[in-house]
Amino acid sequence: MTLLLNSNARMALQSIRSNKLRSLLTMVGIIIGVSSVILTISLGEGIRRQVADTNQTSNDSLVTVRSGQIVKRSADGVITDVNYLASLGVNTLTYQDYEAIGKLPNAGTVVPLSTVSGLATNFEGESYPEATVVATTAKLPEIINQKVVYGGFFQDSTSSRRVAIIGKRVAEELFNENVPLGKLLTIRGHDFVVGGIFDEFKTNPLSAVTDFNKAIFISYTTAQSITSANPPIFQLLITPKDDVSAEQIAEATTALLLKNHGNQQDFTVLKGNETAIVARNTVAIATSFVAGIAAISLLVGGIGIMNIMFVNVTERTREIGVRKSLGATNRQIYHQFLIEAAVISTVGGIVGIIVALAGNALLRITTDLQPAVTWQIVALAVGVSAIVGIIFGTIPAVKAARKDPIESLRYE
Amino acid sequence: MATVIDLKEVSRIYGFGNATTVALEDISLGIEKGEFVAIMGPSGSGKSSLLHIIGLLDRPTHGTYTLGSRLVSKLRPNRLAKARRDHIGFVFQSFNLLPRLTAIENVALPLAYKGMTQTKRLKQASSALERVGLSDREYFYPKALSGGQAQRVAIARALVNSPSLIIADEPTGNLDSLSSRIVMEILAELHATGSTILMVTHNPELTRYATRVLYMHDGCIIYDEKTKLGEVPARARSGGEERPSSDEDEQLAGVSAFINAIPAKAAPPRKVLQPKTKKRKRAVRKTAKSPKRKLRT
Repeated sequence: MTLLLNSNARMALQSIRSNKLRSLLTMVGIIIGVSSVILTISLGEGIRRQVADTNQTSNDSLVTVRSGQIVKRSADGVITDVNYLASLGVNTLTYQDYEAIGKLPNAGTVVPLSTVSGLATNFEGESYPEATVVATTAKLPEIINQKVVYGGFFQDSTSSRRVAIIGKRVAEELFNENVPLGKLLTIRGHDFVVGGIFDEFKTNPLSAVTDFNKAIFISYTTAQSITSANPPIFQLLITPKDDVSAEQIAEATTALLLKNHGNQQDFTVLKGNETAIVARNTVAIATSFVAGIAAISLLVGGIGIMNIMFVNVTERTREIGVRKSLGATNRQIYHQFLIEAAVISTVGGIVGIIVALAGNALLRITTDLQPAVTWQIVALAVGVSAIVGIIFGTIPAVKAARKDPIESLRYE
Repeated sequence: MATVIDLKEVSRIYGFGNATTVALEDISLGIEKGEFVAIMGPSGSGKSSLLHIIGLLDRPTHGTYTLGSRLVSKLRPNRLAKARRDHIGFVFQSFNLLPRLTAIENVALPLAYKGMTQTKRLKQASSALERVGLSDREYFYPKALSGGQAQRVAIARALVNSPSLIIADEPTGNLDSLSSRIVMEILAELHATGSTILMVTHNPELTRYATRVLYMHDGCIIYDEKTKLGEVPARARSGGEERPSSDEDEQLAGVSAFINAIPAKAAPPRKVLQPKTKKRKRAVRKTAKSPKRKLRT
């Protein structure tokens, strides 16, 4: 049996080689399927790792409040379901919430993050459209553990003044230099002086709402005065007092906000590592969604194999007749064609892996993404492609095996 | 001599209902080991159907067929395939070599289905090719071989398994006379070393290699005669067509002559004629005037 398997595999390769273009086109279906499955899964895996990485630096006792209900919890507080989309386009947190939380007896530091609409331009009138203006308070660097490498963050005493602290990317893109300290920029017609530049933020593609490397930070009080309103808050960062746990402050915050929001759970309180869970779940959902689409292309590739195997069987009817007259059993003919299909799809799978690895390398070079390929993904892809070949090769192989030897010998 | 092939009242009918065609009718035939049997007859006379049944590619509708010591007419397809592999070698008019395999791989194919190791296979295939004088063509692809060489490769493939029976369906039909001769000499040599050979031919000259000639018509064997090697029987020259056919001038000869001419066991006229063109008219000579003989049982 193994002997026959061996010689069948060799014959399959021969047949593939003698029909190079056709076999290649058939394989393209499998190649696209396999490579897109690997690409999406490794992309998801890479993002998951990046998220885990950035999260290690964040403060464990930090409590985050976000707009919208993005998690569902079981009775004992464990996250059971994540719906990241619920946070998009809603700003339910208000300045009043910020002030109320600040008055909680257990609250240590409370920092609001809010976006101010409007384009930032430099002294020459050029703008950097990707920049976001974030209004916050002086405690931000301390609470998120981020250093200001040049200059310093604004202090409370200066919070009414027009000082902006900028992310690294803004320095590079808006001012074309690394340390544009003291340079002027304009937001909504008001001039600001660059007072500090943040160290590079570790980012992941799912960093909530905005990439801080592309952000311009101004004080909340200034934002209130230039917009003549209280800019809506997308996130509140809270640390508990020294002798209080994150759980306690999270519970207190939840209770307070529920009361203030008329018992509507239109916000989400996350403590410590829960932000990572949210991010990871979101990545998992997105990955499985895209991988599902990729799997459909693998299915299409499989149907392509079936189609070409039917053509193959018809074209080689005479060969089947000859083989049968030489003593090949139906089972042996069946195996011959099945192995041929499996070889086509497995070779396609291997080429697909190579294409995916090349694509990953390209992504690493051209973007911030760092797709990660594990051997499990590769093994899965090869296995799946071989199985696709076997599943879709079965029907044509059965057709070949059942051919009548006499009619096959007469076939022209 | 042991009987290798034993057919008892074998019939083969194609189709259903009104559209049935009788390809073979009540054929009883015994072939002994070491015989070289030539089968002649016009197109559609059932030669091929007979070969297919003897070669285990088809089964009789009625009757029994014993090959060697086993009753094969009731075997399952799987066992039939194995019997073909181990006991029968086929040589076809159109060679039927697999174009993607080299000569030696073609010859080794039946051994592959037996599960023999690659080295053993190639060794055995090589010696089979040597027997047909093609040792220097082992790694040629079929398209690089001449017709005669291709047919010799096919013969090597048929004999590689040392089958008890070699079935050749017009082995020289596509060859020029020189190649035909070489091929026939090889078959004669195989016969001389004890192989049983069954050959369909339209060329009466080739019956000189045979020890027995069968003439078929309308699904029946109408004559069956033993001949000496090297002799071409007179009937073979006439293609076995010694009865008046239904041509116009024959009809003028009179109905009674026509009836007399039909052998006792001749088949009734077929309802459905196979729409085959008569490829080899020259072999079918009219012989209305030659003496009529009765079919030997």
